[in-house]
Amino acid sequence: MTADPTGLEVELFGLRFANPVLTASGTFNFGREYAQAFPLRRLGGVITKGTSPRPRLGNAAPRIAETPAGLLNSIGLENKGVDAYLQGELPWLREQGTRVVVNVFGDTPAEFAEVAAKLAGHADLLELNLSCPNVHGGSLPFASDPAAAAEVVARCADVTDLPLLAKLAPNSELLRVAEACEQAGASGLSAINTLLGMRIDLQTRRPVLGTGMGGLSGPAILPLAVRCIYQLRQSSSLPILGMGGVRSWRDAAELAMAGADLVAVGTATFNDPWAAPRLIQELAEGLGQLGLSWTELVGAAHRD
Amino acid sequence: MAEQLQDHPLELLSCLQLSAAKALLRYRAPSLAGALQPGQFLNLKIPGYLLRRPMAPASQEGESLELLVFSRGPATLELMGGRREVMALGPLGRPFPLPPPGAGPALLVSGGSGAAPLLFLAARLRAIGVPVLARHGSRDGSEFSLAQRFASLGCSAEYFSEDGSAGTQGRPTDRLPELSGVSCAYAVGPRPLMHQVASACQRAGVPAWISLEEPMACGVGACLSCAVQTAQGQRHACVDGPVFPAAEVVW
Ligand SMILES: Cc1cc2nc3c(=O)[nH]c(=O)nc-3n(C[C@H](O)[C@H](O)[C@H](O)COP(=O)(O)OP(=O)(O)OC[C@H]3O[C@@H](n4cnc5c(N)ncnc54)[C@H](O)[C@@H]3O)c2cc1C
Ligand SMILES: Cc1cc2nc3c(=O)[nH]c(=O)nc-3n(C[C@H](O)[C@H](O)[C@H](O)COP(=O)(O)O)c2cc1C
Ligand code: FES
Repeated sequence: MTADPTGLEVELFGLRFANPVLTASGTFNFGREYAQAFPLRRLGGVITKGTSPRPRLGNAAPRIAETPAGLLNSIGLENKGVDAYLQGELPWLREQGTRVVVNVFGDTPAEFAEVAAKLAGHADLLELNLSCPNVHGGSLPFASDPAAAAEVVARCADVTDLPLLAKLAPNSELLRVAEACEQAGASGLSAINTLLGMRIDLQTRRPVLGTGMGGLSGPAILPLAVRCIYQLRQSSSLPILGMGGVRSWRDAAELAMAGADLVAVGTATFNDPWAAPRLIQELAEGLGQLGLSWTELVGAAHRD
Repeated sequence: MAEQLQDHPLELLSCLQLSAAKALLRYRAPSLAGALQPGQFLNLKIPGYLLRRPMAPASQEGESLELLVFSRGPATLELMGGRREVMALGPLGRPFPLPPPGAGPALLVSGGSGAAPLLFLAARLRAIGVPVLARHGSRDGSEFSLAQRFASLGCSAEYFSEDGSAGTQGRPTDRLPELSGVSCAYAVGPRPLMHQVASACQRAGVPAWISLEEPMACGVGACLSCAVQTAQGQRHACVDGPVFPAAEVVW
């Protein structure tokens, strides 16, 4: 074992992560924009924007609305399609010295597999977005149906050797879907995605967002993330990538104690583009003061 | 690659209140000196708000810059209230293209806080010897001093108020001047204002640019929240704009 002076290194899925902090899907595109703010190698990894087999234009504007402690978005998975990223962004991102997680999306299990099949050699991990509330009218056809979720995972496992993370929705089917994904061959779980919300403009008397509803992220959902991750850790032994409202190293440590092996920073980056690297720095200092390593923190809330 | 995206401190120097809800704020911003071009914007971090607030500066001279802030909600109100230091991410977005030095007159049409980037532009145009016809409009007389600012920059300036309390009664798009004598036009304000200028310029064959105010989360192209429709397809206002050729916008 090599010495890890930072106490932040994580070994998972046969991969070494320099630290447990990644940037959440959809808040960091493919990394190029924020690479102008700091070197991406300071991150544990980058999770890309959701990638579908063919380009998607996304939803009608306006696509965002601020809330008292969060953000509603209905981007609607706008992306250029996997082929464009295989040529432009992914080869570049792979050279940045950080782990690359590609977030995969399709309208059907076959479409998920179509994307997954193309990513060997271009990613370290795939995160299967089973839980986007901004498409399919918010019905979550995969994250609310264990059999459908399992089919997505199984079809992807058939076509790639890359480790697969199933990204789950914070709904009542959470644990049953997680179990189904595990049986279908998922290597890990990712939680949580956003939850549907709405805001209404007092003047126009109409929803602010072009699509009416949008997914809630940010500090408002931190306790939901803690609860979901805690429950997942109780019922599953798969590694967990935790996210939802993380802004500070204490938030990250809380998700770790609930059971997250890795964490992702999403919405916080919009307020502070340096949120993730700052958090990593503070985490190293915070853990140093406690005399703990990150891995000792993981799951601590479940131990005596 | 060098890291080019930076947060710059803006330190409040003075505040000129135009009305209860409108102010021209002057800041010291040494790290931004010389970096801004008219039409570009800064994404301002205002403590207590999850999202930053985009603002297009109204001037930059040496180490100081001005923001023209109209209060639309609590965060802009807080800014106007005289917050001493604000962090500003930028410069962001694409600026207004300038005509060649010595080109014929440019027409600038603004409504409300749209005057901000056009005041900055007017100063640049005058500096390269381009005559400027500036028209600014508001509901009432509260923004008359903005027309005076255009005039003090050496523009031929006209003020329009819908209630007739100052300047000409009506809107800055009423009876636009003869466009055959204009080399290019710029419009920033409510969408109908920009649309009218765009249509008139298209009919007259005059190149025109507008700036789109879209809700933005990141301001740098990472979140895809600011999608706008153009003749070239879907674009993102924060990186492909906020300035667009008026003829390309799908109104
Ligand atoms: C490129 C650009 C340049 C701008 N330049 C100026 C300027 O020079 N002076 C000025 O007064 N205003 C300018 N605006 C508009 C300014 O950003 C909004 O007025 C401000 O964000 C409102 O914040 P609030 O909390 O006071 O209002 P609220 O209405 O409470 O804001 C609620 C949410 O909606 C967003 N929002 C509300 N109105 C707008 C708007 N018009 N455009 C974009 N987002 C909005 C806010 O950012 C916030 O997230 C500009 C906008 C853009 C996109
Ligand atoms: C603007 C925006 C876009 C997002 N796009 C995606 C996406 O494409 N795929 C996905 O799985 N999750 C997406 N998410 C969800 C985030 O990855 C994350 O699960 C969620 O925002 C919770 O984390 P946070 O509170 O730190 O933002 C998006 C979130 C936001 C705010
Ligand atoms: S505001 Fe994020 S992409 Fe334009």
